[in-house]
Amino acid sequence: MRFSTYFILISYLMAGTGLLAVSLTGIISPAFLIAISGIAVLSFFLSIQDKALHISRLVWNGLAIIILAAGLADYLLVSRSLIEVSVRFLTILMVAKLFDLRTNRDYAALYILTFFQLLAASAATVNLSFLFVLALYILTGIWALTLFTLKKDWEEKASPHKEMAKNILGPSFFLATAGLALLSLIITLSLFFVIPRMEVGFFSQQTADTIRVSGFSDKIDLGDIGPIKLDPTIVMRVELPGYKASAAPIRLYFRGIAFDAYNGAQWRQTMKELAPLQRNQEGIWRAASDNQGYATSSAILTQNILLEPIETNVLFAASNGIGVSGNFRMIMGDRMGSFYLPAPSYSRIEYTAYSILPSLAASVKPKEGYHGKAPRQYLQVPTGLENIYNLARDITAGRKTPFDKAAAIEGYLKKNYRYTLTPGKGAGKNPVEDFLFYTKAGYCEQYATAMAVMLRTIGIPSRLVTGFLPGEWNNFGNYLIIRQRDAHSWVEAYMPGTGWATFDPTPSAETVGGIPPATPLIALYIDSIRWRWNRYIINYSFRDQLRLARALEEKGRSLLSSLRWSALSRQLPNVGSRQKKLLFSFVAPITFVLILIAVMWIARKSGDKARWPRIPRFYKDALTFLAKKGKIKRPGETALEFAKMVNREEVMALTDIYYHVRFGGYEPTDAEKAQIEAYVTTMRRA
Amino acid sequence: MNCSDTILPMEETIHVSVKIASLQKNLEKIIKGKPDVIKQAITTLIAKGHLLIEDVPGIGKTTLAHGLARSINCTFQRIQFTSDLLPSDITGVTIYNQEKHLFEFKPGPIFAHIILADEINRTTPKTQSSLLEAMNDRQVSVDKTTHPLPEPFMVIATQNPLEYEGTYPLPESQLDRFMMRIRIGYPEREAEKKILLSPSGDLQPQHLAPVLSTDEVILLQTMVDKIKVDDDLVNYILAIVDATRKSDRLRLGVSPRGAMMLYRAAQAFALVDGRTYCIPDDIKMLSISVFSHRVIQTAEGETEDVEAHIQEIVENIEAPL
Repeated sequence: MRFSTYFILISYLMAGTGLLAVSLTGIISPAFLIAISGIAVLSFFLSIQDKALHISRLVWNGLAIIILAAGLADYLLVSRSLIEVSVRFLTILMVAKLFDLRTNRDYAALYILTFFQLLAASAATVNLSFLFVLALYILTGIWALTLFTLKKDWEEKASPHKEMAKNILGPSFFLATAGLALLSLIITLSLFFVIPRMEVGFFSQQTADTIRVSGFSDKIDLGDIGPIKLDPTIVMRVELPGYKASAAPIRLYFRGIAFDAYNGAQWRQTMKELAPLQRNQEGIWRAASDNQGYATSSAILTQNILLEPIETNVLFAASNGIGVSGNFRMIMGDRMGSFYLPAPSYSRIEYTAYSILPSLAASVKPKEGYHGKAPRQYLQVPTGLENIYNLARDITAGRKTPFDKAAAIEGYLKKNYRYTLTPGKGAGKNPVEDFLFYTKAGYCEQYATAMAVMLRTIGIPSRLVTGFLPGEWNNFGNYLIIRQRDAHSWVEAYMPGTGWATFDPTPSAETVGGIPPATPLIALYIDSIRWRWNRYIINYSFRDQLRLARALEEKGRSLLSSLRWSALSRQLPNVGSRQKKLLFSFVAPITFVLILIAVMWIARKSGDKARWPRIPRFYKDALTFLAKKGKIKRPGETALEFAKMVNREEVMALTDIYYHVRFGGYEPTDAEKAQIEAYVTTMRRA
Repeated sequence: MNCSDTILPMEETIHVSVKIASLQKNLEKIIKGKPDVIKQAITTLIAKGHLLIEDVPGIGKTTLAHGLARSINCTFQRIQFTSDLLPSDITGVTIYNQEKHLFEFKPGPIFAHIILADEINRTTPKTQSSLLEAMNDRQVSVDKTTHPLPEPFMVIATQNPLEYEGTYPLPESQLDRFMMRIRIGYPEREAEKKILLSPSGDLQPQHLAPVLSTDEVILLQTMVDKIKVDDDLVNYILAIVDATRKSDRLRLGVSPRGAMMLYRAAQAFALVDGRTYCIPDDIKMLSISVFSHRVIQTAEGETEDVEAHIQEIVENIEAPL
């Protein structure tokens, strides 16, 4: 077989692989595909027999414009899916190119087209057979490009390549290239599997020390939280996209866990069995709580939380948390609406929590009674609380709904008790009595326990919740810094019809004068840099890529829709699945960049190489080298004049050989080649 | 135009370059310090061209012409052009032979291998134009009879650029027939010293021994055709020609004949230089001698040297790589 036949055959094989890749997408109808393949085979036999149709360039260019216009019309009026249009456009363009393979550039264009076909297929199919096509493409690609390079070189040197083909295109050539293809496929696949590009950021920083936290184990003694109320260690940083502090002046509570059983000295969790949470389509683990009262359609607060490694496996979310998402394999939940990791994390973790704001929950008017539906375990109280019951009854006298009653108790505690971190000891029968009747001073735990117990005595289901207050707002990075000292406990009470509502009987720090010292601005600034690093570099993940892609997609779509006739867009249904679009929003920029590179490459070729296509490599390299040294040949200067200007022996000698090869048409002998090497070395050393 | 299929064999080239080198050496004995001028003169000879030497008196114009003729074992005629010279004084006349009762053609001085047309601008245009047919067609027509000129045939004309009084500047049509116009220029100080110190008579061309036969010259001339000229070099020539036509300081650009002359001169020069192929430098260097007498400057451009002008045009054209 002649070299040219080999070359044509392999080029067509590559085109065939492109068609195969396209066929995997299922975008092109089988009938059309068969027709296209038939035409491709026809053009193959024509070109093998040197009977290529000689149709003018003008016709092809006109045809390409028509195909492009048809593709545009297809996009705007029929499919409205960029990827489908691209696949069709590429396929038609490729088949048209098959009939127009004359110059080397035509072949290069064909290869580029098949590459784009493969790219489009990679975006539009999840079929495993794509792997097979990819392998085939790599193999034929290596063959085609090798032959293409050989062909080009021989043409440049104007040496006959028919005989040389026999020596090169033996079985060893095909075996070696097949081995090469296999190797690159293996490397590609291993990279694909090893690089965790989908689920985790590239670097998960391992921090040595975990932060000791109190109040997040399955039991909590009164007085556990107190000692840490001065600790400025940062526990987490929270970014609130779309949250405007001024627009919704509400107090956020970053809820950790809830306790349901109180024995007079200690809160416990009786329902501590954890169950894996269900994950929905958007990758959010939904809370399996009894927060059934809240409609999911109300405003949802999204929080991007960067959590320092802490001792507990609790995930925090603003009340009332309805779900979390992140790079986790599994999220657990208890029956009181808390989120847990399977195990405590020893590195910083980033996750997103979704919550319904408590103010929105509170605005729902609760119904009057429980009608026997109150969850019974939240009414358990230890014995001997008559005084407390009396006080609670007195406070809530005249209030009808559970919500009003709870609000009354909250207000009473806030108003009549003093905030202190050192409450001391009274003469009460239990700590709550101590707080309510004797010391009348305490901190969040005392307040919250007192309120929860009081609510229970008057028949309102309640529980104690531990978590964090919002802490400090960092203006430099627009995020919240939450420290150990922001640890807090508060009360959740069950409201008939609406579910759990948040109550905080503790007077706020502002009213009791316990404002922590303000962090210096420089420290805030440094922290914002640290946070950005963690947020955008260390924990840069697929979700961030996705977010970016979505933003790009939305931008693009709004731009497109503003361009489109509004009437037209209303009439037409939006076809094409979201996934495809999302993937294509990745493919489109990549494709764009590749096209740009290709254009630049061609421009460079045509600007430089096409001008003097036969300039020998060694001389070109020498010119480049001398140019780097500041010796640039003027266009009007001949090579010899330039060499005289440079005035170096080895350059003169190189120019002599160059003239001999370039204008004399002589092949450099082995001795000359060695000489060239020597001169080049001398030149580089000088 | 590409002759790559008939590339010269190496051995032949070596033989040729030995011949040319000996010719060169011979001429260097009488023209000191002007190797480029000698090379161009030989180039013109083997390119089957005619040479116009333009320079001030006493610089060696005649010596060069005479020397070239002497170096070749051939006939040489010197015609001193004066204002009263008639065409028949060059071509020859038909006279009546009383013994044979016949009109007989008596060949003029032009029937020689090398003609030195000394001070060609001193004669009338009528006489000048009698040279035209001879230079172009290598034949002379007298009384409807055509007489072929010997091979090789070369006209070396000299003219003095400074003398305006009583001169007839050569018409463009005639100038175009000269392959090159060269200026010899004053010799370098060292060369001039050698000239001064050389024993009298040594610089006389009469002392030169011939180193080439006419047959050898003809062989050289046929070999010029086989010199390879790359397509990019042909384009280079065309680009230069085109630029002369487009230059706003030139009233008349280079004719297609001029382009042909440069092509051939470049081939011949490559052979003189011992190569079987042309290089861009051949074309760039020769374009000045080959083109400068073929263009006419505009009124504004006339103040400057036409050679410098051509040089500038060539410098602005990208040399092929």
